[in-house]
Amino acid sequence: MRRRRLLVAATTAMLLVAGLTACSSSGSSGATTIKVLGYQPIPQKILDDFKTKSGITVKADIHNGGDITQVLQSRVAARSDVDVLNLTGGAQFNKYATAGTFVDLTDNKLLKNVKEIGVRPGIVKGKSYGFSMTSYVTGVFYNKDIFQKLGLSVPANWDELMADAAKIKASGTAPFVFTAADGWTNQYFYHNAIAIWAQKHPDFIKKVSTGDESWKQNKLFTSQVQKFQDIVKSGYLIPGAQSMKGEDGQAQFAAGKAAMYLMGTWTLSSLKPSGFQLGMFPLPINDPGQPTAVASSLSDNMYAIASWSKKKEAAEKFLAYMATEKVATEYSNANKVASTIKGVTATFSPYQADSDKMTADAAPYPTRLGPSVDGSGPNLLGDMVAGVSDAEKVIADFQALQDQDNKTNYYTPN
Amino acid sequence: MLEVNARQTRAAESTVVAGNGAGLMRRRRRFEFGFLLLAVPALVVYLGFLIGPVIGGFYFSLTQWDGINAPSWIGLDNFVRLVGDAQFWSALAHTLVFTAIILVGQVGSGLGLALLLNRASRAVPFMRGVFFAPALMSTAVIALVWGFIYSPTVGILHGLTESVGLGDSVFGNVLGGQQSALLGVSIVVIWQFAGYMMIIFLAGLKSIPREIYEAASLDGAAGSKQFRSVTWPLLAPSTSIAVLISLAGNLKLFDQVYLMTGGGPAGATETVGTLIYRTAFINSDYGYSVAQSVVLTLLITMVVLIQRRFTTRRDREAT
Repeated sequence: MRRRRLLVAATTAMLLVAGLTACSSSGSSGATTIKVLGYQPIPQKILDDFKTKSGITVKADIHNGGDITQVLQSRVAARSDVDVLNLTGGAQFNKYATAGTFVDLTDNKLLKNVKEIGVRPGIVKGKSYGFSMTSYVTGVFYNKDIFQKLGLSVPANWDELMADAAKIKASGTAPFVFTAADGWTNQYFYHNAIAIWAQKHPDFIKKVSTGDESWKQNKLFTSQVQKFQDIVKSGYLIPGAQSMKGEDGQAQFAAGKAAMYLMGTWTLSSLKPSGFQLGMFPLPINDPGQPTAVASSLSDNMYAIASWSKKKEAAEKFLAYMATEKVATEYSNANKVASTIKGVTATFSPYQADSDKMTADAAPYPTRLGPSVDGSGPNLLGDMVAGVSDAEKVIADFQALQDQDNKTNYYTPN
Repeated sequence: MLEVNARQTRAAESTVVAGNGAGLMRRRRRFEFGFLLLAVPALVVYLGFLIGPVIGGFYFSLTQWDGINAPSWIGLDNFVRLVGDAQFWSALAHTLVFTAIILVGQVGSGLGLALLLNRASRAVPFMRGVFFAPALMSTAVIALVWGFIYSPTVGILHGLTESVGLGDSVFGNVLGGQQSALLGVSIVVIWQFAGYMMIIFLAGLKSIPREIYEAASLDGAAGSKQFRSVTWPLLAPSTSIAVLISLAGNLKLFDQVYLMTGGGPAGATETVGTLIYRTAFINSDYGYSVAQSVVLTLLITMVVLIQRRFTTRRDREAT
């Protein structure tokens, strides 16, 4: 008798739970809601306007504190309830694309609104799986007031840059910001060297991934690592560089404690110079007598649709809306970055004039680097600053990371 | 007749006993069944969320895997790679150094604070709260506070040392030096959990009967002699717990290092925990990072077992 009662109670409880679960999933029936998981904030006005026009509600789950990699990994692995994914381009995007994470957008007309620079990083194995909403150039931000005060001009080659650095140091100011505690920030001392070399040698990234070539054969990269060693030896880096965090370095530059800051234009959204004029020039990695090196560019603010989404149509509508000139302008202004959407000429920063000039001929940074080279490679310059490595070892260690990547199935160009 | 009655009585008794036995067995079986039913939810959670991933981990350590695409079986290759991986051995060495420094620091300061509070007569609950507070704080907040103290640009320590003309000394940039960074992070972890250790020792001290101290005083033992002969031996169980907690916690040290130095400068504070994180989430080499985790798990298990064996024997001798 007691057992029967227990059974009845258990069955009732199970039915109740099942009923509640069913209610919760159908509770929002009627209006369509899609979910965006990403790192770049989307202005609420864009989401509200989209809802008014389409009736589709967009819920944005934004992780812009650097933990998007982990969040994305777990959500994608679990095929969780998400429709649009916003992630960084390059190794990460390629990994997910090859795993069938994204909807194929190859023939989707929304891509016609996106410039080539925004479409290219979304192509994996000949198919378009997404696009970048924004693009950046990397180079040297500099304090124009310090340069003016010391009678310095924008350097056209490496020797001129070093001569400027010597004068800045002599004046009691640190020439360069360097923030080793956030390893990824180190790469802008060699970023355009890799981009320019890859542009001139389109097969290099492929060959280095198959072992047919090595990083030692990339003369621009090796020479740049050597040049960075000269910077370290000359004491041109800001004091405390070996343990400085990215935001502290930016704050030091903004406070006028260092004259030059190597970074990408995304920094314009948070960089607030304290009463000085801000300028930007490409890192002049070239020797005297050679044409001045161009900057490097990248477009890695990728948007894609989750292949398991049950609301693909609504997700496509949202991305098509985002890729319109008006909305992309709003997005660009809010995030203070340049847009990849055709027709958008956003004025997002009082300091964008120099970087705008650099954009046209900038060399695109390759998106097919191995994950270790991309992720851990920049830390190697920090080893040099800490005094435990030299240029030769950095190049060898960089190649060791490549060798390790080559043993994995990371996506490389066909 | 009597004999028949006696036989019947015995038979009846044996039937009752047998009947009772069967009833007992039935009841026991029913009890065990009920017990099992009650344990099933916890068991499912335990197997699914703890044992399952551990077994899964062993499998993934034998694969080449980027965390998303299908893993490919490579046998023991990851472990062979581990043997020749200087970075892993360096991280392991740092982990052991961290563990040794922090263990001594935490147990020593925890015991010291407990002894002081045990003798204090005023504001004991307040002081206990103050010392225990860091253990309740988020590690992110602690990293932020200590990051501000250690900062080479705006740090309190940097300001202090600069004001006395020692700005260029190691104190001006604690987290920037190869040796000082390791010590700097250790100090933070010691500070964070010293109060936690103090509570363990305080509980141990309160359980020592006052009569033993009185007897020791009568025998002429006071001060350090009393500590050596009475307090320390009777604190053995508390010490065992404190050492075990500190060992297990510090061998998998991650968050303080990750938040304060990211493993730098130049890998000087890289622990196995931060290396596992970097291998998986930065380099997308999940198979290899799981192999590193397996080795770390085995290491922690081994160290804790040795410690348990050692302290159990010592506890037995002490009692």
